[in-house]
Amino acid sequence: MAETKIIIVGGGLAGLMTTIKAVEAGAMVDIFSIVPVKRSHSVCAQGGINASVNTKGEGDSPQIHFEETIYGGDFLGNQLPVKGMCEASPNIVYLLDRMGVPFNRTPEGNLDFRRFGGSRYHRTAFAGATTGQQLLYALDEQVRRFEAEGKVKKYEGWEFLSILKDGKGSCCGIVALDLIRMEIHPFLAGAVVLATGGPGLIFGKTTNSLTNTGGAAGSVYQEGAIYANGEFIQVHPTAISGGDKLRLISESVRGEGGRVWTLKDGKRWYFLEEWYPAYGNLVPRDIASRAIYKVCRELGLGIDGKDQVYLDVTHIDKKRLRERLGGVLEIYEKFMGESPYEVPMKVFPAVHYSMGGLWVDFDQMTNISGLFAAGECEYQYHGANRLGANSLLSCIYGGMIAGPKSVEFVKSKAGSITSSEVDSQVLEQKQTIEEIYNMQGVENPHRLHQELSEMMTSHVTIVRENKKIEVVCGKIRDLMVRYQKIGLSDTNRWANGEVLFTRQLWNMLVLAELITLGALQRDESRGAHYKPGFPDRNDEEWLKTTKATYTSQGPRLEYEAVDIQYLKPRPRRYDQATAGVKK
Amino acid sequence: MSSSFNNTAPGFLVRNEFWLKRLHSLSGILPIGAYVVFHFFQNSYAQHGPERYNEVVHALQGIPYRFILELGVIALPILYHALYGFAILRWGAPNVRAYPYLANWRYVFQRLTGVVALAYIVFHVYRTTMQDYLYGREVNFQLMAIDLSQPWIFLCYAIGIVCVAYHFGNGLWSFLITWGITRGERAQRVSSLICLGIFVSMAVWGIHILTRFI
Amino acid sequence: MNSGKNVRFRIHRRENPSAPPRWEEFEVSYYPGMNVIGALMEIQKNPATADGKPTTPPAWEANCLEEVCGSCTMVINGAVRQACSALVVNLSQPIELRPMSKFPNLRDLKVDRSRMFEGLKKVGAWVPLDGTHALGAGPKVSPETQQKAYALSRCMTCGCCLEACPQYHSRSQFIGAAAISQVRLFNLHPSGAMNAGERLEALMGPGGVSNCGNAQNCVKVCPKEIPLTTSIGEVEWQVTQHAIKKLLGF
Repeated sequence: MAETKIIIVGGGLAGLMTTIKAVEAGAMVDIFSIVPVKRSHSVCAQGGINASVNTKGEGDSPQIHFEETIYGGDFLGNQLPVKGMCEASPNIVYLLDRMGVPFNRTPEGNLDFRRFGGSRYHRTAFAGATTGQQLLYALDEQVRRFEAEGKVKKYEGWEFLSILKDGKGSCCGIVALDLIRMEIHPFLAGAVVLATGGPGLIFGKTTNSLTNTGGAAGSVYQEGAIYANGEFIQVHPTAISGGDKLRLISESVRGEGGRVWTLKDGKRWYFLEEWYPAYGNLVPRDIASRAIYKVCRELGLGIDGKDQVYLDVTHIDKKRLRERLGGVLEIYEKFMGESPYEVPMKVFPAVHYSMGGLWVDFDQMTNISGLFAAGECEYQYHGANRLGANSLLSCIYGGMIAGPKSVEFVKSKAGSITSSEVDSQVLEQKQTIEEIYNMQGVENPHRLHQELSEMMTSHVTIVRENKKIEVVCGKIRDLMVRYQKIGLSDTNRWANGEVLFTRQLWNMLVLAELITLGALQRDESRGAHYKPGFPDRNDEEWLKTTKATYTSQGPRLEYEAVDIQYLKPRPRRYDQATAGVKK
Repeated sequence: MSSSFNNTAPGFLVRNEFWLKRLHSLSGILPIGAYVVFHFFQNSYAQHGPERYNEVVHALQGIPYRFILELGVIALPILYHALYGFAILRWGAPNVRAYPYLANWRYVFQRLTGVVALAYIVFHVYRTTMQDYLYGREVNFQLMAIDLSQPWIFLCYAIGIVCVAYHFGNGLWSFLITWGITRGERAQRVSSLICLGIFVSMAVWGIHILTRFI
Repeated sequence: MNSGKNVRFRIHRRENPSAPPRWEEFEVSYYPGMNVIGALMEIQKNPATADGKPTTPPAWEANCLEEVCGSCTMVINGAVRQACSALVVNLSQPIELRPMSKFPNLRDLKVDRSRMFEGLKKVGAWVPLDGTHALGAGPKVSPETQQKAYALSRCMTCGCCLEACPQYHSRSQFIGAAAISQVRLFNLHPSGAMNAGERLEALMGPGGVSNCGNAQNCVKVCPKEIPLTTSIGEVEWQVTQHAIKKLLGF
């Protein structure tokens, strides 16, 4: 019998978990990644991973976790998969523990848990303040073991260009580019899983890594994959400024007792605690970001009149801080040159995560047969706002579904592609790259990117106004025209990053357009999507998933009903506790 | 894999490098280091005058199985330690200019003093024991006194002894790590101070012995 | 953002591994908080040398930009470190950027560090699981052991320890401090310890722990302050015990 071959694009948590599950299901796996998988963006996750293990005797349970996740996501999440994820979470954390993740411990030697935003339970397992890094390393180690056993082959330093489709439109492999040799090759497989992360770089300086362009998702979107809920972009309330990126200061800092304040009339004003007494500093991210935005931009009460408020941990025991938050406090210290143990940190919201992504069914398969997606590049688990410490969970859970389901798919329904179909699709990609090599205009791709990202950050993040969004839509079209006038500063046929960046820029423009258009259409406020002109959630018209389909004239938007079989939508408020409370 | 090192079948030295290295490390302490201490002690009789010194030397020269002992406990271990030391030397690429840390300097000095110490030992053995084996000349206080009265020989001996002392002292520090005896940062720091003390004491002791011959 | 000051860079250039290396100077306008990556990004937006000659933007590796992924490791003013956490204000000018010298230079500041990942493979740096199906909670671990393991587990395979190690270079097979420290990490884990012998065997083979020359630069340059020399000492001890048991045949 021929071997079952799965291609996985992306080597972060979702990609590696998919790999492990696919190998266990009997497949041979090829992993493609731009960077060595151990350097994937998952390393940046700091605070932890949610699992309702209830070690503190608070009565936490997967059901409460599920309710808080749906509520935190403003009821936009499909409830069946979210329920599955929450129910799987305790075993996921046990599994990671067995892999050797150095989770912090209680004095008895059990897993320790801490609080996170949008929850009133100690539900977040953590390894210092570099939990994502520790989880990624654990999976990386397991995959390395499979690699040593010959079950996995890594293509590190390769960029995904497109999927290969057979005559019936089924995905049968990928076309990829060797980032050093700049050679383009086809790779065949029974199924392909994209685990390529979010599109944060569309917003330029964010908490995201440089590879998070959304390029792969943008490519398959242009090949017919549906992109869902693109307009839901999470802005994290606490990040530090920088010229190259905005560095995340984890929500766990507040989970461990950190307090947000600013000065009002010369006195400390703990505005989150005042406005949201039930959750205080641990309101969900959309709420906290809007509050900080309001304090700085509307009330003009930012520290020193700037876009910044204090995040303060100086009242907490230093040893405890070091053991539980050392990694993130070290980042603040290294990049800001001040010790957060001694002086409060200055923070401001920054684009962090995309709730939206490729549309997938409950088996993690996109609308393209044979093409699966897992992790931040798909849309399924977080609704309109993601709760902290649910992203690592959704990456791993998505991988646990995508792995076996893709193997199942190969065994029953895999497409087949002829060599001439392969040749013509490879040729198409070669031509695209060749066209970029030959661009001789006056525009610099990095400067175009800067224009795009500054505009997106200003108008399509915390506060969205239709008038301004319309202008952005027009400007994206302008940028697409100016894109054609790019002049490539590097025509080297070896390790040419400029060519790739230029290609990614196009995909960013395409995704930016669907994000912006989705935001324009959705005349309501829900989770991270907030329009002052439409301040309320409107379930009658908008309790719907946005589904964008690519056309050369721009995205075509359709809407799909949300699965609300378990929990009936109710108003979302955090000044009183109404979620996860036994009635 | 685009690895930078060659993948040809490893030779004897590489295949067995663990055991060879451990043997090298051990031989530096036992028997070589122990012999050096004994040798210093025995030569300290110089301070009791030529007669007493010559008596001791004479007694030692008369011990049973002398040749076998000199060969097996002194010459061969030193030869092995030196030869494998040269192999180690070849595998190092010192970088003190870029990383001028104390331990890195000590790494360089360990190699440097090893080479100088070897040259010194060859010279010293030629001027002493070999005089007996080759020319039947009696090795005694007078022979040493004549040699050391020449300033250049005295200088060679002094430099040689300082290098031997350093190589032994710092080598002991290294030995303790190589065998996993000092593991923690604190243990390694404390042992480095003790070994520094051993180096200084040995150097002072050795030079003091030299002066007793003049 | 421009405060009027310019920052001068001297950057190692090489088109491909067979091309001769050369140097180019760049000038970028300074902004507060600028790091080396920020400066390289400015050069990308306006790829011209200090004397105004158009050139290609230097190729470099980077990803997370917060010193957790290890990508942007390079030699800055003679010392190896991550470019993201190298703040321009703390560096003397011209700021010299070179690729790491211990790994094959692919282009400009890019190197191929696959030898490091091969090393991890060689020593079996993983806990061999029975499978990822539900097998209940993992072993209990004391907070002390967890803190020890966590410190070791922060290694991001950046290569600083190897770049600074006089025993690690293209002519030696030394596996280096990073992988040795990982052996300590996995031998510390209750189920990882079941395969401790295999890892120690790997470190007793060619390129193993005996190549360490105790220059101890590794621990000085490690950006995550991993106690690498303690790891080496600890692993030497484990190897000593293993070797004695082996010699005596138990």
